[in-house]
Amino acid sequence: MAGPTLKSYQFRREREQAWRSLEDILGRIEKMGFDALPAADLARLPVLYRNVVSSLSVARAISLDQNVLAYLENLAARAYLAVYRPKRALLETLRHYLLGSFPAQVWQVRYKVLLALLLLASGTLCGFFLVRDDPNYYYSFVSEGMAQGRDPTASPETLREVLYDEEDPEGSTLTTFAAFLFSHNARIGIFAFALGFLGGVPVMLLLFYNGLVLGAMGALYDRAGLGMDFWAWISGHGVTELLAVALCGGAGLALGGAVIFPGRYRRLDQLAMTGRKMAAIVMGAVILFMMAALLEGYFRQIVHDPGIRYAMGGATLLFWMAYFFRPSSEAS
Amino acid sequence: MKILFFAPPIYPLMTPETVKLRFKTASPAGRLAALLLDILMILLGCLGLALGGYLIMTLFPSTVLQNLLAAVLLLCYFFLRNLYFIFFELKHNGRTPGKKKLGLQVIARDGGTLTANMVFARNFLREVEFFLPLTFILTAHRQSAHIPAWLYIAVSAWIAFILFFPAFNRYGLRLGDLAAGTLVVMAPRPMLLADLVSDKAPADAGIRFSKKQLDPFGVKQLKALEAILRMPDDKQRKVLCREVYDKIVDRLELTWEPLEKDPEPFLKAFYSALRAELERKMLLSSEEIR
Repeated sequence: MAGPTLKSYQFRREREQAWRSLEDILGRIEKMGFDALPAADLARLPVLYRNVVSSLSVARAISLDQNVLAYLENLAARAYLAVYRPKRALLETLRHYLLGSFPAQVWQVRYKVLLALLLLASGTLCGFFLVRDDPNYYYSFVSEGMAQGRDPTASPETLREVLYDEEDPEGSTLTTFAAFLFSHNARIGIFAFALGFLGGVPVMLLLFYNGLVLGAMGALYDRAGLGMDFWAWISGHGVTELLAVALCGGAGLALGGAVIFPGRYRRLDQLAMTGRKMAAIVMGAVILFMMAALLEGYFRQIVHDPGIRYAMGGATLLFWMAYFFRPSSEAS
Repeated sequence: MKILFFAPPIYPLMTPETVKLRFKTASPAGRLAALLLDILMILLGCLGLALGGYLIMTLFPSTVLQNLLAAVLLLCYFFLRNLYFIFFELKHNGRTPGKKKLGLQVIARDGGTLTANMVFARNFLREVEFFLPLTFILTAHRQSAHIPAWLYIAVSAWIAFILFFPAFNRYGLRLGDLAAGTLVVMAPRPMLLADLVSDKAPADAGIRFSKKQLDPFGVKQLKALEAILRMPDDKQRKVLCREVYDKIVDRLELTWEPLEKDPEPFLKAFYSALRAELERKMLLSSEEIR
């Protein structure tokens, strides 16, 4: 009978045991997770992986048994995925990210972030001067949902209430407010980044528009004689928040730049490289949004003095400038 | 032969050991199903949170607690909607519960590990791909008075392009995959079946085939025969076995009477002989015959 004389048959008889044990280990990894694996199995995994990879090469050369080939292809692929997993523990990844890669990445795209800040600033100025001269522009810029009662028809008392929330002694509504703010703003930030895929122009428009809204509100308060108070309220949390928006916008611009100017690489590769780096920045921006929301929610209740609010704004500005100042990371 | 083979596009991945692994890319239907499953889970999670929150609020009617609860719920909702995918893709190396159910997996296209940055990138872009069209469709009618027709058409066309982007490229990459350098592949688990060539003496020990007789048959026929022999034992298999048997007997122009009742031992013997012959050819010649 042809059986014993077939090389592929003998090859399979020799190696089948190893394949089965690898399959068993992989099954356990997929069911119970990587960490549940005993140390002995963990040590065998790379050896078995190399074994199965070599089996695959041999099988491709000498065997015409489609079932074995398909099985080995699949087994090798699964083993590859198990062996080449992320190797760092979660906490260490976090630490490495926050202290090292995040600020370094931001520093590398600092010009785009500055451009984003410029767009925000110019939007703010435009909005401010337009609405100051003609309040009707306010309605074009700020939607009803965003205004929440703050429009040219509101009295100065209503506006003041927003800045100095003295009616909420327990501060409990602030928690809700802060959570809402965070999720709302973070979503806008993520959107600004994702929009970068369509080239730089939509991102620039979005940033400018956000500036318009801010400027419009500023003009509103200015007309009611609360200008300085408004900017004090803004600066407390606004430095962090606007910086987060600028980070997302800068990341979006970088993405748009990768789409339009691939440089030395193929467009696909350039996109992949840039996308990965910029997404890391956006993740950090989400953290910034969280901090800004906390500041906006609680700080506003605890501190009423405009002077202290300005001081907070200045302090956060200095902090972020120091955090992101990484000229030594230029090399990478 | 009525056997259909569905062939998904194969992505050749070079591992760091310089072995080429052939991954089957996921079908669009599978990916859509996985996405729907994941969205369903997110919705169920939100519903559960809402119900739980409502329950707690009615049990403990204190304003402080209620506001705190509302804040926690809002945060959970945010994390659920935006970070569900990121969390699972990081934790289980590229598989969300929906993908797990459908047997799909996210891998890195360059052959390395699936890094956290990749997971962030491919999921953040879903805002543009999925939620932008969704909000546009849902809210466009409200502002139809302000949007000129050409703009509406242009935006719709652009959104359609983004939505159907996976159909335009070879491996079904969506925008998120492009930006992250990832790929979604199928991860099925074929079983290792017994070798069709066995060393037990068959009932018809005596059927031999000469080299000349096996000459007209090639690898394609061998593959097809193996596929038939591995089919589960049912009516279709019997019919196909009979068909193949007749075809082979015609081709071979046998001078002796082959077994008429059950073609299977004959087919198995034929398979073994053909495989042995073709593998021998493969080893001895330098050309690729598969």
